Amino acid sequence: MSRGGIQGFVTERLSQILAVRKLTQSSLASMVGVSPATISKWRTGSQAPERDTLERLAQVVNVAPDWFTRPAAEAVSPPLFRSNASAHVAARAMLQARLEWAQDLAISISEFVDYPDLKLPIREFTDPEAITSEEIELAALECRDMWKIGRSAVQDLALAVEGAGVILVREETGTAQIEGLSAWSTALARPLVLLSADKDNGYRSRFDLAHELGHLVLHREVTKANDRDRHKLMESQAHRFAGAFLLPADSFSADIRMPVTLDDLLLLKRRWGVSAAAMVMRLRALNILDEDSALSLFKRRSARWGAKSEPGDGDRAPESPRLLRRAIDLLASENVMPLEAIPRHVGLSAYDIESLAGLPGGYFAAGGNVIPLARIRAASNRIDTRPIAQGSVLPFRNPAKDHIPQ
Amino acid sequence: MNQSNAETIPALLQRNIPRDLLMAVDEALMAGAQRAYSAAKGMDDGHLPHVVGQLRHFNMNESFYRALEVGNSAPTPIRGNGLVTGRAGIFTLARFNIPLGFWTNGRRSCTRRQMSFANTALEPLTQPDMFDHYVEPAEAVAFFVSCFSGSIHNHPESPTTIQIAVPNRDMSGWLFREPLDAFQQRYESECPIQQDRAIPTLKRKTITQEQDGGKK
Repeated sequence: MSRGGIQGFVTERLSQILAVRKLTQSSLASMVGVSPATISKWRTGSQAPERDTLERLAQVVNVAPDWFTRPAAEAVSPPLFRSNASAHVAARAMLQARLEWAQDLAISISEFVDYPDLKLPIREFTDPEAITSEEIELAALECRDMWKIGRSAVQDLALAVEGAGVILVREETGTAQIEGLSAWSTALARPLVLLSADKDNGYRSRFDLAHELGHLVLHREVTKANDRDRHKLMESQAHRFAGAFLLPADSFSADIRMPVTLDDLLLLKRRWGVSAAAMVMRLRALNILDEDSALSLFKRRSARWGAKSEPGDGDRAPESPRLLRRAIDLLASENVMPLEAIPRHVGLSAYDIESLAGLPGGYFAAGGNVIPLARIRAASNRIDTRPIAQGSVLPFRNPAKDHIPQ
Repeated sequence: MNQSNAETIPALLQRNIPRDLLMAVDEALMAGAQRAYSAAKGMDDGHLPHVVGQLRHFNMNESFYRALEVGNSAPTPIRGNGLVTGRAGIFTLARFNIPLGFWTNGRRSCTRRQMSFANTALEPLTQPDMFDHYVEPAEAVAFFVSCFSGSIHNHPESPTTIQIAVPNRDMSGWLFREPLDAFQQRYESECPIQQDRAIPTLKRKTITQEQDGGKK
């Protein structure tokens, strides 16, 4: 395959790193100190880097050199993005590559640990047009029943999703337009979800996760939508699933007093962990509100609070994933491998693993178990009330003065 | 922990009366009261409160009967001034109306007092006795009590509140009473505490290697 250069250079890895680090071939070339044409040759496989160039390449993109020689796992299924139309192609490529890294990390750890068994309702729709609203409601309730979480508000959706065997990643992506994406991994035989942490809104993040869950349950067998209408339909179905899952028809509607006011919804927002806007959408989907009433509520919402936020958005901290973090903790605590060896084993940088697994920054450098200590306020002002022990009193002397010549 | 410590009257009610039946009774009593008031319109003011009161009895009995029938609670037939009762689990269910305030009028019916005697078995749940221990009874009684304002000029068309109430053995007091809408919340908050299942486990192979002193 390659002339000169190291053996077994995997070209997909180079494409991955360009996507993840959002680099163009020419910018990477200037960072490594080679010509853009050389990068292009490495990428097509007509040439492989020399040993010292590979080390320089690995250093500038912050991965282990041997990572470029590791065969890439089977790619995840084409992901479904929760995003608006303005989301850039490069941002999508970056997130897909990031999801593949999450897969790599999960595979590496799974050599030593078992993840929880996968528990998701099975739906084999191949055409989204065949999915009815009733089917979506039933699938959402079946999911709740499988997870034994009853019909009331879900306390911690991230915990429930990970408990059902889904690999969940929540990290800052730098692309706020894309709120999440999900895909199935053949290598892991389970799905992966990546949520953007950029908006830092616990209510929104919960809905995003429920939306991705909808895609995983309803659209597993659906081929990726290329036309706009089909994509729109799938998005609206995932939305309906999220509403049906987070706000089950019977228990949620029992909480609703007619006529619905925004302030009533704000009270329910805390209880159900869902924004007032999403509740209005759900009430419309359940035909509890007609179109005019829903529109009137949306208008009043915009007039009172603006279009993008609601009171109490900061009341709920976003739910954090914990499965990958716990798996890494387990490897270290059971002495399967030393903490500092884990990044080497995975092949990614410590920073990337910390971000993907939701570990605190500097986790591997600090030797693990980084526990943030609460700051005790005014500790220095505390008065020591213990009785003074009897003992010899030492005179305080300024050593500088002692040396002043008389 | 013995059972009397763990058991409570609302939990017993919740286990025996389905949420659906409770909601149906709530709706039925409201509808019955509204029908009674509509039917009494146009009557002379001199006896309007009496007409409304009597029509409430008939209309609310009818709607209560239907709710019990649909809820498979085997209601007793409607007969004159008699009580309509149904059955849900160990509970015999009946209804009566009362003005807001003290509920002394509830005792006026001899049949209701006789029925309430079955609740002797529930008394240890609220008044623990050193010698008399609680054993889950086969029979108990609960009433749906519709409380009206007591004035034909103030909110006469529907009850101001409907409560579920469990009397003591002679109806001289109440072992438990709660508005139906608050009681319904108990069903909704009946959420199993979310289990933490997001727990990875070491593969058996890894554990064996460790025990042998080798690492991969």
